Amino acid sequence: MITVQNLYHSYNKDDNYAVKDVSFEIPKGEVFGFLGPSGAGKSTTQGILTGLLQLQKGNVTVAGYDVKEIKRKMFNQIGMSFEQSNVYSKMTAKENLKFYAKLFDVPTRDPDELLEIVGLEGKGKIRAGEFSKGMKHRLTFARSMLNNPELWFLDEPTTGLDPAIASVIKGIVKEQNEKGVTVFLTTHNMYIADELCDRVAFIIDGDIHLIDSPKNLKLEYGESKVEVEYGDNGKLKTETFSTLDEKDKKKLADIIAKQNIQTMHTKEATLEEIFIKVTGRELI
Amino acid sequence: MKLWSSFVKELTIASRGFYFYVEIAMAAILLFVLLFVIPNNFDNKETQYLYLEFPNAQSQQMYIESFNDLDGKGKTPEDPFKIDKEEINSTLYVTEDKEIYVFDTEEDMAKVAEKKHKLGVSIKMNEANELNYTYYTQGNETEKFSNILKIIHGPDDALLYKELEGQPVKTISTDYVVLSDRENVLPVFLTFNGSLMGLFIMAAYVFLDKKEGVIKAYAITPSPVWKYLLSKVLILTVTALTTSLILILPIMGTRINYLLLIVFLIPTGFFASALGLLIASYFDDMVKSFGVMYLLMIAMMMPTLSYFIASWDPMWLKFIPSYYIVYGFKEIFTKGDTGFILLIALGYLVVSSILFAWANARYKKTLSV
Ligand SMILES: Nc1ncnc2c1ncn2[C@@H]1O[C@H](COP(=O)(O)OP(=O)(O)OP(=O)(O)O)[C@@H](O)[C@H]1O
Ligand SMILES: [Mg+2]
Repeated sequence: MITVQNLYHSYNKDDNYAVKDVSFEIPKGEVFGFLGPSGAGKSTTQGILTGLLQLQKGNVTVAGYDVKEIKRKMFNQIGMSFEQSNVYSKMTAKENLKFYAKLFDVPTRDPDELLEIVGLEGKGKIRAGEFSKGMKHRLTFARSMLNNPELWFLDEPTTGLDPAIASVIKGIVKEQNEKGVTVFLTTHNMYIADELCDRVAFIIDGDIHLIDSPKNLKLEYGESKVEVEYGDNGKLKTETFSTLDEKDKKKLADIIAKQNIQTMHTKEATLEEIFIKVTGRELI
Repeated sequence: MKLWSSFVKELTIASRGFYFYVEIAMAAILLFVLLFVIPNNFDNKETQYLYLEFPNAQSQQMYIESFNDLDGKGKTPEDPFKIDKEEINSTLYVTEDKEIYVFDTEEDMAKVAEKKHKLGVSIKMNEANELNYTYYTQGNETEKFSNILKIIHGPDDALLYKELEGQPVKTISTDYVVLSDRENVLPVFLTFNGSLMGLFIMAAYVFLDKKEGVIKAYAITPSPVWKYLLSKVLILTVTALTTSLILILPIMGTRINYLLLIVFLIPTGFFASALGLLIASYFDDMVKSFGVMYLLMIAMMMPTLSYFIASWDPMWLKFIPSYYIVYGFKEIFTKGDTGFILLIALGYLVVSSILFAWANARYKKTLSV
């Protein structure tokens, strides 16, 4: 669905690249996560793929179209939810969707249905200007589904939403993906990425460090651990042991045999820990 | 279809916004100024103050009837003269090009002539049926004029009239319309209303959209960005047309060619809004653009100064686009040269299209994520 080869982008057209030598491919039907700290170049890459930013250097094809000369038709197959919600504040939620729907040449979805999906049912007649930040964000998200896109760009779809709504959004993404929609997901939320993505790319300072599935990454970089809570002479103690390290294994067996164990969890490495381990950088 | 949807959307937004009403209110204020502050002076008949002293009423009546194209009988003026709160009687005779007030006493006539700063004449007929003229001048007339008054009724006036007849005077255009003061100001108001407001309001609309980031959302649809921009131009052209007509209809009535006017209003409105689009593409918000906008507005107002001060018409002024807008309106109102008006309209259409194409390229290039 997407191929990117040796992509470079500089906002000031100098050697100061926001994206440098980025290459990846996304097959149809995949959820691809683009992970990285703020300023890594995630939105820039997405901007080039959607034609918002002009391609400067590299080869990019999106949904079978060469991005060098974008055909307007291409946008019938693409949906994009923006990081910063951008809707007409002077128009109602429904008017926003209805107007946008008219810009496509393909059948579009019913605005009311979309509003309901994102939890804005009954809010259709309210002007978007009166919406809260989260509501605007959901409206922007709903709008990106209007044309039943085959390829769906999501820039921070859950940022700033309360956990309940974030999980609704996650559910919608999963559902769409099951219907065959390819998703390009940009985020710095590792939990979301972990749950949704078939593969993730770690990007820092415009550079992709690695691309793999969360499962492989955990196998490769993650060390599973056991966290034990036990009573030691009346005092409660918590300790973590590696399940691979021989010394840790012995110690754990010792505690199990001699102490009064309260709780015991196996702890998988999180994507976040792996990110820090691989890149040496925090995900802020 | 997409253009139409975009246009309807712009109309919806404009009608819910503030600037749309600013434009209408502006037009209403300008109209108010035109109607109630600037004197119409529409009735530009020459006024004459006369005192007549004839030996008998019959000969006086005969004299009055000798006025060219006298329109009915003499009547008491609707708005009688008043000096020191004292009403002064007079009789008004209206001819095709004159309003002649005949006073009861020579003294009344002289007082009114002095107050109104107009020429007064006392005409007396003696027993020998000879007319005697006494002119009451203001003292600020030129010597030439005073001398003419002295010789005009001299013994040789037959000679004078003969000279006058022999002197050819050609009127250049026979259907040239002389505008009243009020009508004369209209082109300036229209230029201000259509061009400057158009420029300013377009920028305001664009900055609002920039703040909301909606153009990005538009840019990732199958509808090209130029349709988005053109829908904005259309909405402004429609507002310019509406507000211009609000000003023109009550003042000019049915005396002008509205088809020609609309043909002229559309490209000039297009010009202002395309320029506004282009300028707004270089700035992030209104405040940052203010310096440039301000300079531009002042520059665009310069030609209207020359319009009022006929003797000030430097060459460089002709390079400011609003120059041709002001004079174009005047040509329309005076039923001037249609070819000239169409040429100006065409010129604006060409220039505006170039500006629009330039703005379009700018907007495509400056999209961000
Ligand atoms: N319009 C712009 N002009 C100049 N530089 C820009 C512009 N937009 C982004 N940059 C720079 O490009 C780099 C990458 O920015 P980008 O927005 O792609 O980051 P991001 O990964 O999306 O970050 P975030 O998680 O904060 O959204 C940053 O260094 C940023 O400062
Ligand atoms: Mg970003």
